[in-house]
Amino acid sequence: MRVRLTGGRLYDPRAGEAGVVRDLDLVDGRISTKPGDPDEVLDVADCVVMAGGIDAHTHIGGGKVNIARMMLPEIQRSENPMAVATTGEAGLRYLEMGYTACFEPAMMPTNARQVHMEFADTPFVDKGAYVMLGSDDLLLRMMRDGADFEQVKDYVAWTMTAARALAVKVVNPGGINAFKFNQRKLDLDEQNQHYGVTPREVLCTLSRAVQELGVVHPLHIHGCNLGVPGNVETTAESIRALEGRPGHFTHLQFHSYGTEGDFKFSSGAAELAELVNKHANVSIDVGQIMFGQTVTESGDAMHQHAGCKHAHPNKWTIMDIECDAGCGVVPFRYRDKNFVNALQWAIGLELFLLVEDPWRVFLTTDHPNGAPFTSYPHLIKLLCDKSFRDEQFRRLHPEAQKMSVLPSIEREYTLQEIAIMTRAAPAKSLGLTNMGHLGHGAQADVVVYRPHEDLERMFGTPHMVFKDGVLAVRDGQLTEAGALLPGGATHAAAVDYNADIERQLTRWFDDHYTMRAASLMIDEDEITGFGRGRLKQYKAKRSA
Amino acid sequence: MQAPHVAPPTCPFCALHCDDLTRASASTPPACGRAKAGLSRWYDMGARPARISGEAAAFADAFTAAQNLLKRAKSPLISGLGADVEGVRAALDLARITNAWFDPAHSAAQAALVSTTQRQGVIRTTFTEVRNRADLVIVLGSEVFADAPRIPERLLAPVSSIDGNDLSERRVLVIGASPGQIKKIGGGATHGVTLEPVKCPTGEIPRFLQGLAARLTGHAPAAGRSMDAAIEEVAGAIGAARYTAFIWQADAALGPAPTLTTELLFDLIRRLNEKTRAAGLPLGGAHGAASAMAVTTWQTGYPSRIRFVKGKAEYNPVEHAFADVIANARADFVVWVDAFNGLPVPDCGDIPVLLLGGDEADAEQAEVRLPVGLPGLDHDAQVIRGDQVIALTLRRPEGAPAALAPSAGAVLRALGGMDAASELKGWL
Repeated sequence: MRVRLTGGRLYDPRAGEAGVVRDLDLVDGRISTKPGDPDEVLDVADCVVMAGGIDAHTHIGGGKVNIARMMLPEIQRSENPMAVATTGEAGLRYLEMGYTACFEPAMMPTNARQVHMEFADTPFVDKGAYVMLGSDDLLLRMMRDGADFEQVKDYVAWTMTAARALAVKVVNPGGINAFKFNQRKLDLDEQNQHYGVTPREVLCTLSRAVQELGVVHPLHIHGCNLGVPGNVETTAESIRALEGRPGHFTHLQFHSYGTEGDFKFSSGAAELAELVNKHANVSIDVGQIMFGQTVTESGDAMHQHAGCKHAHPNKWTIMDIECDAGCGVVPFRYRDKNFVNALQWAIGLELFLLVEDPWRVFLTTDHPNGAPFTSYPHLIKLLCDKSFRDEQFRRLHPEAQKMSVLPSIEREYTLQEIAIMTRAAPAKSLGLTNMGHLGHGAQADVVVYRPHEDLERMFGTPHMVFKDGVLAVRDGQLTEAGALLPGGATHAAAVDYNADIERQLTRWFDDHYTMRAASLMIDEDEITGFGRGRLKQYKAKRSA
Repeated sequence: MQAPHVAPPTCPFCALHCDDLTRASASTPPACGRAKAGLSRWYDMGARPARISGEAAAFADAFTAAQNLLKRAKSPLISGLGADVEGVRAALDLARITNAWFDPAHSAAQAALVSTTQRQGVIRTTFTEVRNRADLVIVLGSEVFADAPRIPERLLAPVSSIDGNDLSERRVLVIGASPGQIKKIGGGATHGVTLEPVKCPTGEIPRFLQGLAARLTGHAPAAGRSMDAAIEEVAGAIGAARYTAFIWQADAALGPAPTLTTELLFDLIRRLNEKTRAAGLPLGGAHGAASAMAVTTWQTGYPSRIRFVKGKAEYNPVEHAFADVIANARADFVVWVDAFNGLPVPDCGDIPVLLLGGDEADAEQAEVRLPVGLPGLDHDAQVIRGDQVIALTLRRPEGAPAALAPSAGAVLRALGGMDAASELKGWL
């Protein structure tokens, strides 16, 4: 089956094409540039054509997401339930918005099987997850005891394999563990009281391990001091701590706060953006906030507990989990008339606009922590339309307006830059070679947008969305063929490890855990069973 | 009959889902009365007959009868839901297309915890965390030991932790248990754990907790003098602890107003965390309880007590409770799923019942009974453990006798018209 899209303006940053008018053939689920007669021709003249969107950081599955759902039936019943989207709704809404792949960034090894179960029930889109390490007692113990670095790498590789992870995430490095020993904060060079290990050491260890294992996506870093005024210094120092190794700093907005001004809360965006611009080894996503009700879900039990006094509605849940990590779920309503929230909004946009290279900044709201992912079209409009941005800015708390440089930033993102930050760059960063572009052999996940001067409308309801070559959504409506699509693939890294680590882990788990190490290992048939999913593995090239 | 020589790699019979029963390195295989009894019962049952109106029938005939009943039903209720993850998924699919009420039987036991989570939130912990971190464990009532017999051995006995902490001084206080009851726990095998009984009259744990909360938060004592000494002792232990874990059986220990008591307890835990660390571990995850709640939550946004209307879930934590639906005869057909053989069918009056799995006494009362396999013995399965975080696979043991019934998931999918032919082939 060959479907030809004719007359569209193609935005394919990987190929350097920006608005190039050419035909695009979708053949049996792949993009093809080989000649052939089409079975079907769709006229998309004047339309904008891009690869399917890729969300590199969205909390769509796993324990804390499910706690949020259970805790907040009032949001589920409300007009906008997407902050606590069910598995089915998340998959559908992403597809309708032209997103065809989503990555859950905080999968605990002991909860990984549940994440994959939820993925299996998340229809249409491809997915994958980053496994959390860095507050697990095993790693901290190995670091304290000066374990051989190859053994640490084996442990990371084994954990990625067991959990079927695409990448590794660290959350408040060592801090979730320190909270279990009643430490309430942990700066970059502060020791975990029990293990004597610092967050800087955890960052260095894990970023090096991930790099040497050959995992494409660099260590995904949720740094120290989330949400704490003054954390800009910690974040800057964390960037330097990598000493040139690759690292992805996630939801940087929550880590970009200074302490200036009457309210002792100010923007550190300019300083951090400058640092990011200078450090080619660093990429970021923003975690933009939007005003309204949402829920914050994080593995960072320490700082979620510290922030629980801001819960709205006033309820929150914290968990310590299995010598592995923890989580905190705190509902939150961001208000534009609140000084801090207003400035958070501005800080996020400042980061977007001051980081120069769109290949190193991904468009996220850290769904649902800053806002539900359904606000992406609005966010795109803010980035691309200076007058709209100014108009929104003038609604903010007046003191927050005084504290932001946003009005002085003239930059407007181009469509090509949007295509980079929403598909090409995340695909490249995650190593998804057949995704995020429109070249020969790419997965035929393709979005056709009707141009509209209101970009929020344009990106909110694409004209056509193709998933694996099937026209799945047309003008916001799931098609019959779309409804019959099988579940998307699960993307995972295949990483080598020395079998000795299995013997070591078996002993540690037998001695100290309430499950065996072998029980953590997720078999392929658990992902592919009942035809619910496919597993797409990427071989990592390990080096010493 | 002789007990089977097979043991499942991961045990299906209680909320702990122990996976060390076949551990090669264990010098003596772990002993668990509940696992042993469950295994023998499963083995002894052998082939359970399909039944129509209590009479043994061919599976195919009973299946057709079940299909016809379901077709005629205008307002079905799908409940019980003692099933693995795949079984719950299939039951949800069936409920969606039949616009059924959907409420796991466990929702009654979980109601207090769910309501407390929805009203104020909770601070919780998990098995391995308790085992390695808690230097003080406060067990509310002794019911939890009957339901999950290896708690002392698995969670409380270890004296060295993963981080090298010495836990030999760990204290375990059992509130409301007599010294006599303590002796019987775990069939008398202590595994070196000293369970310290704390005096509290039967049924007075809620009042004890009120008194403890008042004592710890500086308010006037509310419990009454008879408990003051015991409360003082527990308060002192908490004051000396680094990490206090409270464990209880969610449906049994907290008296006639479990919601109020659960709220009080988690409020106390919340206050303790202002200065130190403490967390709760409510149990109640046997027979697939945690799996049913988790899957229902991620698929519908609500933990239980829903009704599908035009395929969309509506949540009503009071009126959509299975007991309420049955008592008020709002359903005209009940599908009761009991794949783990642990959830007796409630009195449904004149409402016809389709039973999946279950024991023979219930099966004889049901309009139709279809036998289904036991997850983890008759078929591979996935479950969520009783601490509601850890998801495990129950692999069918090597050398197990051939499965004598299809999985609940397969039967439910077939009943919904989904892929009947391939999955039930060999049974129909």
